Amino acid sequence: MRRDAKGQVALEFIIIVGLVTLIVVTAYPVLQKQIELNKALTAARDGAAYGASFRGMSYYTSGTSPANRNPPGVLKITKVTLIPQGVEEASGKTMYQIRIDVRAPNYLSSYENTIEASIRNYARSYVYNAFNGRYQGGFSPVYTNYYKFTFSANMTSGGG
Amino acid sequence: MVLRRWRERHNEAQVTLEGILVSFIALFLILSLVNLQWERFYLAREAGEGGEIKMAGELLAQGINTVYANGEGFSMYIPPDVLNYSRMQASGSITGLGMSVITINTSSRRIILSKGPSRTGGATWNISISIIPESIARLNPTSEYRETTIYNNGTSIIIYASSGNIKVV
Repeated sequence: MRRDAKGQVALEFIIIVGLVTLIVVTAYPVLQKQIELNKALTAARDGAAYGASFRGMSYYTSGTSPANRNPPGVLKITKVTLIPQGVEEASGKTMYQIRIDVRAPNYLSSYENTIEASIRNYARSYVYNAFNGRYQGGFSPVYTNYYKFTFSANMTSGGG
Repeated sequence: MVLRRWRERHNEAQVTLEGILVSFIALFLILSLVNLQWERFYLAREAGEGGEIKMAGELLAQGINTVYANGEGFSMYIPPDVLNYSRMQASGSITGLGMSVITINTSSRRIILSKGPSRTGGATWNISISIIPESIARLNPTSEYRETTIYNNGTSIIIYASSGNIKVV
C-alpha cells in the first residue's frame, strides 16, 4: 500500500492536464490561423528586406534593361501592413493584401516601378517558401490553409 | 525479495510526468525559435554574400583602372587570399558566395558579376561595375604572372586568370 502510494499522479494534476488539453484542442484552429498570419507577415518582411538590400546595392535581375538598373542607395522598409480584403467566394479563404512601404532617396525616384516590383516579388517568394516550398516564379497570390495573400509595394522618395 | 529490491532501486531517479510534459513544451518552444532564427540567418547570409561579390567586383575594377592609369609596364597582383575564386564560386558552404564566372564586357566597359538566386527561389542577381579601359584581354596565368595579375602592355590591359574565373567578351 505504501509502495503504491509513491509516484502516483495527483487527481488535481489529471484534472488540470485534462482541462489544458481540452483548451488547447478547442483553441487549435484559432491558434493555427493566427500562427499562419504571423508567419506570412514575418516572411513578407524578410523577403522585402532581402529585395531592398539587393536593389540597394544596385543588383538587377537578368533581362533588366540598362535604363532600369538603379545606382546604389539606401532603401528602407518603413512599414509592412496587412490589409483585409474580405473573403474569396470560390475558396472561402480570407484575403489579405500585404503592403510594404519603402523609403528611398530622391535620385532613385525614376526607378520606383522596378524597385517596387523587386520588393513585392521577393516578399511573395518568401511567403510562398514559408508555406509551400521553393518559389518557382510567377505573380500569383499565395494560398495557405486559411488565407489568400496578395502583395503590393509603395515607394516614397525623399532627401538624399 | 529480488523483485522488491529491484523496485526500490528503480523507484529513485524516475522522471516524473510533470518533468516529461515540461520538457516537451520547452523543446517545442525552442524548436520554433530555432526555425525562426534559421530563416533570419539565411537572409543575413545572402545579403552579406551579395555585398562581398560587389566588393570583389569593385576591387577588380579598381585594379584594372589603376593599371590603365599608370601606363605601359605597370602591373598589379591580387593574391588568392584577396580574390579567391574557388571560395567565391562555391555554393552551399558557409564561406561560399554562389558567384558565377566574372565577365568583363569590353564594349560596354563593365565588369559583370552574378550571384545565384535566393534559397527561397527567384532569379539570378547581376551587378555591373564600370571600368575605364576598353582594350582588355585575358591570358592564362604563367609562372611569371600568377593569377590574378593585371598588366598594362601599352596597348591593352592583360588579365592573367583562368577562363573558369574571368572571361572577357
